[in-house]
Amino acid sequence: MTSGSKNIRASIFITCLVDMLYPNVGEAMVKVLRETGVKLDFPADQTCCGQPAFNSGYQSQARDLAKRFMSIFEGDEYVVAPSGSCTSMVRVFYPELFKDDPVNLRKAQALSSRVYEFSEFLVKVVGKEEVGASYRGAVTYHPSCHLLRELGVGSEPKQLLSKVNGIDLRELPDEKQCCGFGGTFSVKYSDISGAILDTKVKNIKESGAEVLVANDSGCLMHISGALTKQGVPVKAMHLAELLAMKGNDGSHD
Amino acid sequence: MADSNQQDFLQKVRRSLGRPGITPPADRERLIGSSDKPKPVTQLREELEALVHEQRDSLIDSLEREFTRVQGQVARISNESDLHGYLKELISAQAIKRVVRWDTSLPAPLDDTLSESGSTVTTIGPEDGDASETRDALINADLGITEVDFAIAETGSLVLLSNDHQSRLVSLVPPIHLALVKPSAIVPSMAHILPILIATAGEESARMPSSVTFITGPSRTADIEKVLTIGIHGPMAVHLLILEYL
Amino acid sequence: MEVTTDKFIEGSRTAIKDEHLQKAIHKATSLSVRERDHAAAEIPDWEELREKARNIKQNTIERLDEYLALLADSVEKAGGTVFWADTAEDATRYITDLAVARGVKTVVKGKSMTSEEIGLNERFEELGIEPVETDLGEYIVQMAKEKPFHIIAPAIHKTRQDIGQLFADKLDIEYEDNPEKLTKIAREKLRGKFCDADMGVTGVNFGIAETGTVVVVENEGNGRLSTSMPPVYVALMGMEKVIPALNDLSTFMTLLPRSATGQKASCYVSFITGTRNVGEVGGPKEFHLVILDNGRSRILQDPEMRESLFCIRCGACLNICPIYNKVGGHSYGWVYSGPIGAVITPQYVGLDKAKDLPNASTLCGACRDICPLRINIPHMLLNLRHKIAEGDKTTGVSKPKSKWAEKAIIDLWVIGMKSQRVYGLGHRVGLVAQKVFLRNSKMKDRLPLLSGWTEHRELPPLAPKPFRDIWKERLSKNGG
Repeated sequence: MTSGSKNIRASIFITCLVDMLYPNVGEAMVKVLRETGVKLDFPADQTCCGQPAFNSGYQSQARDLAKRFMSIFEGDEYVVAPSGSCTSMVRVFYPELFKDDPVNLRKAQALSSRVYEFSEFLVKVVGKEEVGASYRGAVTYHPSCHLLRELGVGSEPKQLLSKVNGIDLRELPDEKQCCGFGGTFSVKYSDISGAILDTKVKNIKESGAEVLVANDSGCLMHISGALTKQGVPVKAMHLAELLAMKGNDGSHD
Repeated sequence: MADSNQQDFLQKVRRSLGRPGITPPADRERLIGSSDKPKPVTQLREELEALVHEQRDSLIDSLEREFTRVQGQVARISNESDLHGYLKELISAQAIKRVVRWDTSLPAPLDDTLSESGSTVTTIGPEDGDASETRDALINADLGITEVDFAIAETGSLVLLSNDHQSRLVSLVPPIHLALVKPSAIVPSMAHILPILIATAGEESARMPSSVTFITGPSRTADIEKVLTIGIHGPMAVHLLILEYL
Repeated sequence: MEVTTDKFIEGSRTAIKDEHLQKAIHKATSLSVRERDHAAAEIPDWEELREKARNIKQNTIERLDEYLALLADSVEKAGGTVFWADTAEDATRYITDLAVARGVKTVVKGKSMTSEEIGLNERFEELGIEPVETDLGEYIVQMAKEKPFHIIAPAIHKTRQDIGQLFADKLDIEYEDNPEKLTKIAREKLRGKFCDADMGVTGVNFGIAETGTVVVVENEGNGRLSTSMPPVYVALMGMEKVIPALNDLSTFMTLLPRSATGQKASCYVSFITGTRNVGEVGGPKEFHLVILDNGRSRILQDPEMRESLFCIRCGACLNICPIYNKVGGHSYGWVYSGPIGAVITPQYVGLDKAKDLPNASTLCGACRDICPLRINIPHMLLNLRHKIAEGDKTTGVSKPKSKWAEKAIIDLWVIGMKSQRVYGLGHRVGLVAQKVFLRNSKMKDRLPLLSGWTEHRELPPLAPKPFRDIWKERLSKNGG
């Protein structure tokens, strides 16, 4: 389904974690999307979508940030983010936040229909599963919870991964089990978070993969933190980074 | 007539729902009503009979398969002599001395076999109060015999209505339960029975039977380490005889 | 039941460190999930049934007062007595008064979480009346003087050795840990109780408004015995358990056993309508239905929270929850644990007492996926967090204040986030702070939130250049 991808324009919603901690993920996403012909821009005023405030119950504050966000991305044809949880904040929870405010509700609903997570954007909007990526090795995929259950994105990442040249895709045992990140949960309830994470790490080891791929930097930060601390020789990578690879030496060209 | 306690309680609920006014008097039709006029019970029974007759073989197969799956014992009985044989074998193998049974007309060979075997049989029929003899008979019985009003093929469930001739204790207290089912009573699912119960209640007795019990195998628990154990408070074994000749 | 919801963090830490317990929980819940998945897969229109069940509950809850009125009318027509219990005390007083008036010495109990909610057993004991839990799991936890660990399987945290030792100690018998033998011992010990009991009390799975029928679902037969042998039967029903019509049951009876235990049908389902017929042997001579509010009407006040009353107590959400699987049922500090417990417990005992429950969740949504009524637990948890942080407008009950420090931080953070320049500045300050504070690795393990992180994970560094700078410098020119 290669339909007029030359005419697709999208604005990048970079997300705080990628912006401040993993900008290479942003770069990889830009590269992959541009190679499929998508025209990109980056609204420089963007900051946070407000999810941390919302998840902690501070809805008035989240509303402030949401209004700002909506005006920055108003009128954009598509908005694409390298994160399932940030995308679900905008798509699912912005309309919830404004359910008593008809004017902003309309804006939120309009934005809802235009905001996409990176992998679903590639498959559903651009219509591509094969993006010219190449990686020889055993890779396993962890579906982030908001991506899977709030956005319903389950098969798209796997479709994209299966088309990576040379890939040895391994199943992750109990893949749908949460990794235990949950934003501030990971520090407020760190014992529980760590215990849940241990199970995820155990399953990653069992998969026999050398690389763990996910679409959310929160999960990746949390999982890779434990992999490193436990000395497990598995590299955690964002899907965009893997799809930008043209060979195992990490070259992107 | 709603007492003030009921009114207060319901008002609190209604206010919490943000509904104005007070709770109107119970209106069954408005709250339950379906768009179709309810069919008379005779018609429902006839329709069910026709369906059951048409699917007879597969219903029997399914009941046998499902009841076995839940650790029930099933036997297809093709004539009276086989019925006699099964019962004799059961009495002998389980050393059954005392039997309680429903006060319904069970197939004749059953009564004969029971008296021949020398076991005492107590028919649990209508009585006033709780006669201690009845209680003792139930508590000391080795075997309880009942018919079934319906059997559900989908799940392997026996459906027993209770009344003064069909005591709910006969299928419950003795450690072994023997149930007799005619093929015409085997229905596909629970959904086939419910409309008949309602229609019967509406037309004939102005209320539901005092109890309707759905029995799916011998009693069981998995409360210890999720290990399935058969036989706890209800019967330890259930024998289902499908009387194919009836 | 005593409320210890404020001990959640303590309790969860103890549970996580207990390897014995972790093995027991995992074994039980993973098996339950497998069985449930298998049983649900057998039903081709499972999703449609979920939708249907949800709609039935929604319609009923929205007109709850009317359906309760009809239920009461139907029960009374069938010879039963209805008592409307606004509070837990109302309910226990009615039941104990009745017991005293009838000279009751022994009460046999079928499984009833509602009775634990109101503390019925303690009230009986105060009056010298013996309440006997007859469900095997409840029998075990009653003997051990513990709270139930799981909504469906109260003793699932105990191994056979634990139970064997318990029986040996409390029943004064030889040690035995074979589950079959332990089960037989329970049967023998409890047999006499059913026969001697003057009153039976059970919970209610469904109350049918159309006919005044209470539906009791079980596997052991103790429910049947408790409702059939004693002359007086009290059915204790949370008011949200009412459903309109008998025909509605087939939907629920397809969803409930499969979700709870992976069975096509529970071993026994009893439809009990009123008192025994004249001349009938077995069955109650007196039937009392106690309809309990105890805070449910408060839950109704917030339309967003009403669906927490749709729950049919299958326990599937507990089995799939990553948090429950680590912290276990006791950590939740009250009757209802797991995801549904995290939603309803704060609403019953007060948000200020149970702040941890809605917060100790990653909002993964696995509970909503597995729930036969698709109850939107994650969204309700978010709602409760909102009530905790900003006060509870709908009910005005116990306005808890979030920690002022947390609110101050959020407010500051929002101010920062409203300006791209401040945001950028924040990154640059962070880079410096990172060099200064984290140079000494011991710092990592002492700073409050960070030490929680670093106990289990390495801390990632801030990138030297944020993406937005990289975009400006390199990326915007090509193919923009």
